[in-house]
Amino acid sequence: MAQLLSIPVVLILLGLQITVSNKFSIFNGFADLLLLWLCAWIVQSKVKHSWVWFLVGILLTVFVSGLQWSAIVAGYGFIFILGLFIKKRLWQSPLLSYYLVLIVGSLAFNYFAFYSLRFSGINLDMTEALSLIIMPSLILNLIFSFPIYLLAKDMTLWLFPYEEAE
Amino acid sequence: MRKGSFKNWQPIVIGLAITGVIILAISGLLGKIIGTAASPLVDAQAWLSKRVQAVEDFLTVPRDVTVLQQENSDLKNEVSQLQAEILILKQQVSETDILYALLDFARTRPENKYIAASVIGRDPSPFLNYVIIDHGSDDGIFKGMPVVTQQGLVGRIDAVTATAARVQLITDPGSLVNVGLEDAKIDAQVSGSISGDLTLEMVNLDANVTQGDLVLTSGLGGTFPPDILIGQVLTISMPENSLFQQATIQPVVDFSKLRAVLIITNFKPVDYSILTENK
Repeated sequence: MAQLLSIPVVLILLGLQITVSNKFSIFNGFADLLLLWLCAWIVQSKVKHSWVWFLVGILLTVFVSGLQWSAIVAGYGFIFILGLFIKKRLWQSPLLSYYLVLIVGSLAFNYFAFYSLRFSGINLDMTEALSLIIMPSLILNLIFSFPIYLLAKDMTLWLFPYEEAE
Repeated sequence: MRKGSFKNWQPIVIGLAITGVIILAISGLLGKIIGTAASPLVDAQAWLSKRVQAVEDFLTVPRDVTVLQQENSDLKNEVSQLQAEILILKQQVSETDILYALLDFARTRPENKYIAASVIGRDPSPFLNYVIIDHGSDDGIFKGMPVVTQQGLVGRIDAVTATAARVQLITDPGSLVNVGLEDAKIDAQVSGSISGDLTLEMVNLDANVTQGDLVLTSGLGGTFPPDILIGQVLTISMPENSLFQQATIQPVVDFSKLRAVLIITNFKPVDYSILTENK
């Protein structure tokens, strides 16, 4: 059930990402709703097989985005590994885990995107990228982080109610 | 005898009296008397009427409130429906204006064939300036086709599915367009950036570029048709020890408000991929 839900949820988030998210921008950066959701989902203690969500996210993003697939796979793959790693060590504090994964993951994802474009021959300036995209995106991600976390938590409670009762 | 004769006269006397009173009443001579006599009756009637009206109101108002509430609810629904219709109509008017402008542009260039498409999204990555449009290969759109608006050049088709396509805008950091300056008669290149600004590059040092010069596609390289407006020269800079001049371009297209575009379908861009593959 939870795995099946990944397709509509990721589709909705990606739809919002390409139509609404870029309307709320700081300089050229905007929030990555799918990344926020995946970070919030992976740190939930009851969630199992979260790799399915990441796989669906990667496939749909590769399909929609003009970014090189290697950057998308590396970015979301890094967040997945980081999420699992932090979840094991900070399992009693999912919110703290979430913010750690979010901040490191958001920066890492943008760095992967930056270097993939650079390797493809596009001349990009790191200072410009940091000030116009990477840091503004991180700030917007932090602004939108808490509501997304609450939504993810509510969904885990809805999907795994029996484990909650235990 | 006397009693009998009085009895005979009684109806006549009464009849005469009534007739007299009627004549007096008709002539108006009894008005004051009748008014004085009727006044308490009128007051009593008014009092009674008010009470009856109050009782009637008391019995009928609750029914009226229900009816009024229903009417109010119906009217509110109608108002919301009309407001929604107004919004839709306003949107349609706006879209019609855009389409008319695009049509005007298409009429000025009858040599080209166009397909109009709506912008339905932007690339999820903030590093890229791409838009997604609602027409794809089913409508005859293929990779590399130039995309314009009534104002000027927008970009080119980067990827296509059956029902949608992705357009690389000229402001994208990976975009490079061969251009010419209308007045200076020189060739140069316009490149995008992550900030969305356009830069004029590869301009010879001896070229006379001035602020306000119009920048148009040159057609060199075969990726875009010639003479499509891109923008105007804003500022010119000559970095030290540089081999070329640089200039910033003010694009004519407002890329933040891009809603509808035209795809030039009869232009076939030159495909260099074969050459690079052989290498």
